[in-house]
Amino acid sequence: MRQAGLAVPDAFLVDVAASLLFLETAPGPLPGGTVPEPLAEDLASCLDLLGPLAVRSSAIREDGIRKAAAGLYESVLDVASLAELGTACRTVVASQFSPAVRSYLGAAGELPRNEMAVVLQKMLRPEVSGVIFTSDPVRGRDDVFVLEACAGLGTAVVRGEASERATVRRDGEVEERYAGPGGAVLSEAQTVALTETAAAVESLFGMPVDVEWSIEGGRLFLLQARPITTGRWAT
Amino acid sequence: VGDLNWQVFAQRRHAPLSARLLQEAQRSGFFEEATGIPGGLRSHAWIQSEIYIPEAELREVREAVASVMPADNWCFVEEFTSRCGGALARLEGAAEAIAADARLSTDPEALSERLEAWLDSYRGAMAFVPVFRIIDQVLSSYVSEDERAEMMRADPGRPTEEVRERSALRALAHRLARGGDRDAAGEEAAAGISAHVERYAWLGTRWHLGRPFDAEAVRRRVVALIATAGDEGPADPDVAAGPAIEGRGKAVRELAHLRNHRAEAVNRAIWIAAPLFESLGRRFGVSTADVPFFLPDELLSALRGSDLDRKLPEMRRTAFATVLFEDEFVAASGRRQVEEVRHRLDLPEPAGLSARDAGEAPVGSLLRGIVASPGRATGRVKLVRDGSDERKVEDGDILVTTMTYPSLVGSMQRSAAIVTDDGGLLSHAAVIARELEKPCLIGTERATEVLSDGDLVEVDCEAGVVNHAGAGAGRLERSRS
Repeated sequence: MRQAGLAVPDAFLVDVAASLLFLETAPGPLPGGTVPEPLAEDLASCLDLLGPLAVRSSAIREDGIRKAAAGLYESVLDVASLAELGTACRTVVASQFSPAVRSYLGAAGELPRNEMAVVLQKMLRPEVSGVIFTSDPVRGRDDVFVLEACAGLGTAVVRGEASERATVRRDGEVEERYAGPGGAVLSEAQTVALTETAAAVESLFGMPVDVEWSIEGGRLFLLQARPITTGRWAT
Repeated sequence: VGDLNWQVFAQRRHAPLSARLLQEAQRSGFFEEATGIPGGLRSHAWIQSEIYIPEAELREVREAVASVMPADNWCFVEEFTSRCGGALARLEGAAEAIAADARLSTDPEALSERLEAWLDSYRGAMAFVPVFRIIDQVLSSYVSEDERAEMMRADPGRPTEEVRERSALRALAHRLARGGDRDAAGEEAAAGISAHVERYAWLGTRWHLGRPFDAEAVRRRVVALIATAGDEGPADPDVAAGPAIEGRGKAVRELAHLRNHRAEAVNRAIWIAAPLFESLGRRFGVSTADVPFFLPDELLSALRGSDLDRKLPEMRRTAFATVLFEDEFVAASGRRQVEEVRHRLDLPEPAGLSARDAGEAPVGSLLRGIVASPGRATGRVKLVRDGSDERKVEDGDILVTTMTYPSLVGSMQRSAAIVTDDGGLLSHAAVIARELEKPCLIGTERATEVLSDGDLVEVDCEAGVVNHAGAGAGRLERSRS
């Protein structure tokens, strides 16, 4: 996405091989978050370069075409010290073996093995965050975007506590907007910019996408993008 | 009317003229000749923005597509894309002939002739519209979605005009931001915007319903983009294309491209053919924008001298339905007529997306909510308030909770349907409910107050309500298109 000129928070990746070290160095029940020796130096410089971090999962089985594993893996926000970072990485890596994930993947007949990389993303302090889908995942309309937003971090939206929902046509016109008790949090210009950017991500992927975003200091950042896994007429 | 079991096929708005021509093009005979796929439709209902097709007929078309497009033979895709390309070229030809015809405003004969040619070629292009989705469905039974996504990633192919337009706009915003013109008020901005309008105005024409892009709209978007843009400029969409691929990957690619290209080609032709609509508007004393709110026959007979009901466009803007039923066409204009058609065909009410619809339960229902995942199921209520209740949910139960969270996934899998007080359409839990294909109703506001453990209820995610279930209920019923 960055190569296409879209703003993405600065980040480092702990790859699948490296993240395995978190499981090997601290066996036994959670939590047990020591930092694996070979990674200590690199992890410390991530903190120096980026400041507080959001530690997120990036599993091979996650964000697939049919199965998003949405929200099943842990994320840890606002990690500021090396010790915390070790615990956070381990929590994220271990979450691939949680009962919820096993149940979810089990239904799909897949066996768990370590396939998790960890993303260390610069922690944003956004004014507004949310999720935008470039097609209506419920009614299968591909001529509209559906977005949900809330003030601050996007955790409320993915938990289902959005304070605003809008259906926006592809030409930027808002077809329907609903603001909850918290009131509207997105300006019209932000709505337009958001749909423009989501459309750019969609064309990058070549298929409808589900994008998590934040606006910090008036600038739009994309935190995550994945194909929309379902459409009423997808199959 | 009989029990046709109408299924929602798609949601799309077109102006009445365009909708009727599309419907005419689906009829057996015409459809077969245009697309090369045997058969066609005997019934097709387009109510406001919802398109309904009887289940049995849809299945027939699907089988017909599968018969001409077996898994090991991709020639059909080639033939189909070339037929579709031909139809679009004919439409463009008709549009250009209109633009070049100086007699339109003075010679009623010429106007009739051009209108007829336009209607014919438009109908020809419309024969291909819905069948794309069906071809896509058949295709996905041959090529897994993962494999398809891989093909698309390897070769995103030619960008659509829409992609080029957005990329051009982002490049303009980036240039202006670097030059310090954050309000897009300077000379460079004015020149850039006007060049953009000239090149892309037609993209705003959406089946006659949109307005062509104008400078004001473009400026608004540029300013929004400047305000929220990143540091780097956009990539050129043409450069982003990867290496070309062959074989069935190519067929998939071509089809996907044509599917996007087709809509753009039609909208562009509408834009080029604008003089036809201006001349018809002047002749009938209605605005240009009203012309596509008349049906083909109404326009043709008005040109031959019969009366045109000038109130129709306004009524049809409020509500419009066109129905093909047993080879007869019926149009309904205005809310009352449209509701009557919906009632007589026994079509389901469209499910509400808007939270404004939530809360107030309609007469006879216990709760109303927002549909996060469609379908219908009947079962016993199990209230889940926290993790300790999780084991309560058994196969076929209705999971009722304040808000679904991912750790409930096991309960969600066992349940027949999910009902929540709060919840977002785009929340992780809603995404999972859709993947599991479980009916899911969110935002009911008080499901956990109104329902109690053991209640026998029907969750109807077509209508977006929860009802008391009558005797004999308890079996799982699912209906999905």
